Amino acid sequence: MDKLLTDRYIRNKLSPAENIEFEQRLLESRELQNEVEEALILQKALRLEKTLINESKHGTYEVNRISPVWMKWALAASTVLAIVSISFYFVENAERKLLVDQVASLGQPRTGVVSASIKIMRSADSHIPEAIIQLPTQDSILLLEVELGTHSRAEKKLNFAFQSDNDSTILAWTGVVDEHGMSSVAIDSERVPSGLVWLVVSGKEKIALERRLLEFNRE
Amino acid sequence: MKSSHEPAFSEHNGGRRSPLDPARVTIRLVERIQQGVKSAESEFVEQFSRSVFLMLLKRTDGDEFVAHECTQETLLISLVKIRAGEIRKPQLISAFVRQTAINTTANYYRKHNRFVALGKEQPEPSVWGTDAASDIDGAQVQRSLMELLRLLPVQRDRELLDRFYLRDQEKKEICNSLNLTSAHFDRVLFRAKKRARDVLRTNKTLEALLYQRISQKD
Repeated sequence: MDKLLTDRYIRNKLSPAENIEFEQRLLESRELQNEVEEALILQKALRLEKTLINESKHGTYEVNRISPVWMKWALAASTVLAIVSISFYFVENAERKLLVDQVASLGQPRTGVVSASIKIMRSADSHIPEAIIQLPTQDSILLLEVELGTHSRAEKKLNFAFQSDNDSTILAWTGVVDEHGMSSVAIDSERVPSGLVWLVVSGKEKIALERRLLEFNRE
Repeated sequence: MKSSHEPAFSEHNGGRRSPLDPARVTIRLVERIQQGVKSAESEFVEQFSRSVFLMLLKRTDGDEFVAHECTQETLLISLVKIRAGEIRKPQLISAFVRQTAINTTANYYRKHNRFVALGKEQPEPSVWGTDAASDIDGAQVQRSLMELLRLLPVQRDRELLDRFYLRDQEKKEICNSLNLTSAHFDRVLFRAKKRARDVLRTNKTLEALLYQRISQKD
């Protein structure tokens, strides 16, 4: 077993798949909870010391570490222009133009953005939603980042659709797959239905490769 | 003999699953909540509150307040969904709780506008007690953490911990730089964590403050 697994988790060094597996084990294992707690306490203590040292040196706090968590939230704070710019930071070159075009085609100015990641979970294809996404009431963009399964990753271009339980299509778009097996899309949040929705991914033959259940709620 | 607070670890006996198989216990727990057994709800909170809190503490980069708030919200949403019979595969409850915790935290940040505008500096990672200096609890936490640091090892080992946890350097890089063996690295990390555990267990102030809000909820 990887002796540093817990530390890799604390330091955000696990792959997305490892992270999911680790956190699900964390929810079930008291032993793992103890390990995480110890590492977090230690990290906190070291951080506190650093803060106090800097404070005594400069009369103010100085922390240089950039938090990946906050980087994520930076997305959600942006206006449309900021969305496009900062998305460049995350999205691969091949997808940039597509995302810019998508945002531009949304027309009127938007005041907010909801960034949601749809990760592959063990519950895939079950009746438990893989993600529950809270949508604001109006004037917002949903920036959806979908982690794709192995079969879908082999395709250069994919067809995506939101479908209801009776397979009727509510919204459809095409997307490309980046080198990390992700595909992103910007959608006017008002066009997204509330409730349970199937995200269906298909290839060029229009044969469904994946069906993922999502739940959208409005504030 | 196991106490009631110890986890029911999987025990296999002649290929048959023990009644204490955690997956089976969890499935049964979900079923009992769906049947309206109130004590099962308390068990559910007890089972998941600490683990969800730790997961969110890590995901919020140590923001204890947000982690507490979102843990409570996560448990509440999960219980409502279980009661309503919306969890159709109880064996996947951990996956559901995990995803609910992630979504709840995302919603929290959106609602409270805890965002960073583009181009501005990133906010500091929070440290217990430094973001609410007037809070007496914060001062107590600081003292407890400083006590832990006093117990930590010699300067070179402290350098190792600093590089690993704060400067985000990899083990190999640290070992090369400080001329350490891999085994020495592991020993330092093990000792430091053991001391963290000892301080946490002997210093009830720190432990109580860490879990205070969850206890209050119960």
